Amino acid sequence: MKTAVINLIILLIVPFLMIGVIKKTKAFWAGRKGVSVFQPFYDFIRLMKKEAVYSETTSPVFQIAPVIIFSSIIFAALFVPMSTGEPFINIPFGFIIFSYVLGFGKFFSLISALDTGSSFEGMGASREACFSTIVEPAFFIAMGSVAALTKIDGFDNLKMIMGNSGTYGVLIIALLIITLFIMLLIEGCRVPVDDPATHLELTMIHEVMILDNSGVDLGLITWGAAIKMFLFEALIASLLIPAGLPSLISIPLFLGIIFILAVVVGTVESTMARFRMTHVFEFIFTMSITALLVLTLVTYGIYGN
Amino acid sequence: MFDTIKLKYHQKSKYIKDIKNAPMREQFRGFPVLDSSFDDVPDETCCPTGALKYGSLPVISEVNPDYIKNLRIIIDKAKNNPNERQKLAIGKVSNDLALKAKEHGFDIFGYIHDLDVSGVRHAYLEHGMEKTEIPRGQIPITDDDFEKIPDVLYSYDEIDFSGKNKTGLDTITYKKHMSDNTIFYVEEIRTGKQTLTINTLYKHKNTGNPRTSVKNDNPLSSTGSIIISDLSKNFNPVVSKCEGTAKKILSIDMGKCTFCGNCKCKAIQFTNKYKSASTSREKLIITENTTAEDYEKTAIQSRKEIIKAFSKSLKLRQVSAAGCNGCEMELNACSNCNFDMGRFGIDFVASPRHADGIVVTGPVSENMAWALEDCYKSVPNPKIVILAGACAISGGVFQNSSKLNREFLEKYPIDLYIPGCPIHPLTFINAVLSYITGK
Amino acid sequence: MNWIIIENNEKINLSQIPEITIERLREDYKELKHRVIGFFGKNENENIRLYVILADDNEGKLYISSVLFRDNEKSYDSLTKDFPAFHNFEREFYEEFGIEPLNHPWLKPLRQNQDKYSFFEMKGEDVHEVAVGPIHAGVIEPGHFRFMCQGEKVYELEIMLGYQHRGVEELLTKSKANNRLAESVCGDTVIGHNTAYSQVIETLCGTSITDKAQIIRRIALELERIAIHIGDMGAIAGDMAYLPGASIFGVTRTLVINTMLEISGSRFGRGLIDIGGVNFDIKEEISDKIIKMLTEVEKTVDKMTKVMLKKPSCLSRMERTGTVTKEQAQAIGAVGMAARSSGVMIDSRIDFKDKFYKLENLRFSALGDVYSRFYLRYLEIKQSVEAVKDLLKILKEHNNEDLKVEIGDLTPNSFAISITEGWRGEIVHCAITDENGKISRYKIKDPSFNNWYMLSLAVRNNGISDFPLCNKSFNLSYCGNDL
Repeated sequence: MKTAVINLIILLIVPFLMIGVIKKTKAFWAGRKGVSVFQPFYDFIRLMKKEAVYSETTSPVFQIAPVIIFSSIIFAALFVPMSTGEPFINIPFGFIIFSYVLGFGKFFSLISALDTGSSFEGMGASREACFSTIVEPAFFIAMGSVAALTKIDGFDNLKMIMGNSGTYGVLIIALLIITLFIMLLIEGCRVPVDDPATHLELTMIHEVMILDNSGVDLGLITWGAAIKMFLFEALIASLLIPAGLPSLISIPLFLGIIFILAVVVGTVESTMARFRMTHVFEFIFTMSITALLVLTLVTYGIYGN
Repeated sequence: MFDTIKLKYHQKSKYIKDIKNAPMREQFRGFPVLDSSFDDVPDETCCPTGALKYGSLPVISEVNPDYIKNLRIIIDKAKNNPNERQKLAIGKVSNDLALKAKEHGFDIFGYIHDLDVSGVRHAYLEHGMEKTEIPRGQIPITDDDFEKIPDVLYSYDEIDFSGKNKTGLDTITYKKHMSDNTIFYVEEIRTGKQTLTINTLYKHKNTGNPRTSVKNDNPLSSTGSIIISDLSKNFNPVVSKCEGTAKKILSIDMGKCTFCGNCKCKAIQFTNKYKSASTSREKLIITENTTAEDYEKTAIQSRKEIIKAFSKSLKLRQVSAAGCNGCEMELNACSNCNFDMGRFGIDFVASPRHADGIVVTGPVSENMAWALEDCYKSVPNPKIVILAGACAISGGVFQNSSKLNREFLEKYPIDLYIPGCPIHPLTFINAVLSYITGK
Repeated sequence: MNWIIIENNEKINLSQIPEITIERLREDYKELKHRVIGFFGKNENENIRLYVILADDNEGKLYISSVLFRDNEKSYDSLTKDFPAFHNFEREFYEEFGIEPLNHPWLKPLRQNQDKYSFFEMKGEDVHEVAVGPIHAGVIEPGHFRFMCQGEKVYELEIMLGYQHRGVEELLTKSKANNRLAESVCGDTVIGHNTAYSQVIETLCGTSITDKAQIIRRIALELERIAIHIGDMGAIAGDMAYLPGASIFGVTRTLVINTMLEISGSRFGRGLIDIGGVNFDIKEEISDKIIKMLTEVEKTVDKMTKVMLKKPSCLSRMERTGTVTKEQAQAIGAVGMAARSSGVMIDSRIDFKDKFYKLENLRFSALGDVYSRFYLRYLEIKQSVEAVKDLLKILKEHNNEDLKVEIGDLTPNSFAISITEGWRGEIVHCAITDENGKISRYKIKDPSFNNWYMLSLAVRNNGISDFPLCNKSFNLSYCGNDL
């Protein structure tokens, strides 16, 4: 129970800090002082004080969508293994629920973008939908392989790979980290897939879909987006934290990995240009390939010898 | 990756550490210092925008330019069809008045003074008849007196916020000594629709001792030319500097100044001080009595709500309305690595919906007027409006153009004026920072 | 004699300008193969006179003639259908004087009445329309863009400008000397426009300014070129989300404009140039400072450009993006840096005689894509750095000359033209005086006026998400076009 409370606090607070760390890393590389790591909180508080403006052309869907998006992400988060490697709700095949609940939220963010009737919001929605269709199968392949490997169908199986499968497990973990990291870049809308700092409405993906949201709605969406990105980091972290560690060690370790991942994301963003939109697909398919490699390795491990 | 590390090593962090006291090159032409005791004051015509004045002080008019033109319609209606409802905007509530009202406990930021048929009718019925007025010691009002309303509202001598009308609405009473030795009273009521509506108007002959009755606590009345010349003609001079009409006042309106240095001489010096922004349009007029230190301390008057809402985070939407791209370039420069405005939580955002305020640059052309207004309406409340650059504040070098439509700026409250042509990033960052933090 | 041939910065009497017919103009244009740089009307009692200026880049000469439209002639046969380079000129002439070019392929508004115009539309199952502006997501000027796309691919981009129209030309006729207004024609080409304006007025007054002032003007012009080019390279990097490029070029640009501040008291050189000369001297110590600064800037730009051009992720964004071929650029009459990046080598600093510049056309493989424009900027920075160093050397020889000379009155009934190569390309200012010696018509042509259509051509068949990158690589002026 105690760990669950700690995990809940981590889930609600760390995502904003993680965004702050990414911004700070980028500022370091650019030679700026940069914003404080707490800036996302300040922005959120400011948004909470503001009214929301709704365009005359939007329907109620647009107004309820932010709440649905946010709550779906929080609901999905309940199935993700947190600092101790245990999800809040551990049921068989939690990863399928996770994926589909996220998908449900995404569906609402797509129709709310379309609801505004703006041509670039529609464009952003089509890009986002397109990327998601590629991410989803890769995610299932990767997670399915893990389930087959560990013979555990709960989402807490991630922590079981390390220490149980030897060097062969290390290879699988490495491939899974690559897969999940690329997913993180896509779902978190980071460079080289999307540029969160851009001011160019024609190249945005996630940003363009929320151009019309304001006030509290916008606050919820940005918070939700941060949590969503954090969830993928949490998945990577739980791959690296072996089972059976006492929570006194595993919690700092977990936070440390999240911090390092945030720095890595910030550094990637500082060292490379964003891909051309058509080129992004090639990048995303890299992830599908690593996921398939995991599957191949696992199949070989089970049936090979 | 490797290259980036090398570049990082080569390029040390260059951001300005202390933005509030950032050094500025001495060649920079910033805040002007005036002293007409030197006799080399240049001709007014050397100024490309009319910012330089040597004579009477300029008056900033926030008055609806069509007021006089449309006034007759309202008066006719009041006399002939009193049941008709029609309103006429007189002008915006100045920031100074709003700040003063705030001290008395009510908020009139963004309000508009207006005149409606019933107010005119009331004034005529109550104060227009000779037989009722003369016994009261008052003079019956005439049609021409309504033309003087803006003058009374914007350069009053005394103001009283304490009144309430019969239905319990707040009233404001303005009192002004006029040149024909009469005292004018204008009474306004605060309605719920962001307007101050003229309730009534009356006048009487000045019988008291003018020296004691003029309580000069309004900053405007010390700068308004009308008052100064009027006082010097009819009363003993109240303000020592306007002794006699011969004494000319040297002034520079930073809201119009391009800081080109054409008028530079012993009497007019441009310092390298860059904190020239103000929350009030009137303050931008620099006279010999203004010192840079005083100005920096008093020019930006923030409000509690603003500090509460935005002190740690402010997102702005920039609207370029027919400028020359100079201010836009400097606004972009605010976010570069040298000035790094983002570290204070101040950023420019893509969508007006995400913004807390708009920054207007350029003199607002006809073609951009609707877009500017649309953009403003898309920003969720609470919101602020910042005018950046001489063009936005006064029209600057384009002020005489026939292609402008500056209605927007007359309609909505302006929070911050940032002078310059173009604005310097340090001026902008410091102004916004002290406005949102109140320091 | 159908044309009067003059040089840059030369004044002629209005009566010397020949009068021809539109048909003659059409044939001469075909025959002479010169570039049109001026095509504007002027009211003459009830009639309208159309002035046409052609530039001969090989010889450095200007050809001037005029066409008279009597008050009953309200149309003529369009030149654009034969020579696309006239397209914007004819739109402008139609908009200002109401004389319709018949059979103009696309007679749309240039600066006014945008809301009454129905945009070009494409029909088809998959074609969708994306409209952007006038207010954009970044801190940039207003303009409206309408894309016809299939998925991510752009078929056609229509650009609608005029939101910045603030009546500059009209205002310039109202006063004799208004350098501050000339600086605000386009705030990123302060020196360029102000030089052109000052030169045209000086020419009309018959004043010749000192060599020293001429050299200082040119130094400022080159510094402006360096500063803006570096800034643009940073902006291109920023649009690709390549952070080191954006930040380092940004910081380097600050060095240049702060040196400008030390010279003139304004970061963009406002207040430096006045009619009759310049207001500020470049003394020995500032001269040393400039050289030191330029050496450092060149080093940083070299280093950063090399890193960027080695990065596959940067190269893949720039190469073969937004290509405009040489033929296209020539046909639409593109000028300046953008035209040079497509291989059309016109540079008024080189083509028209100038005794202070010792420049040669740059040699590089011009492909007309974003990469070429990026790389050309880099080369031009290096070229300008050398030019400034040369000019500073010559400046020393003219140390004792005055900065400013007295100017006389404007000559009545005259016509003068001045061409200056700003960083974007040739800036053409023309002025006509009336019988009282007052300016009765002032005409400005910013390079953007010719080049906006290049952007339309560049994004054809490109991804819509590459549009901002193409746009930045041209960095055309909205206010210079809208005036």
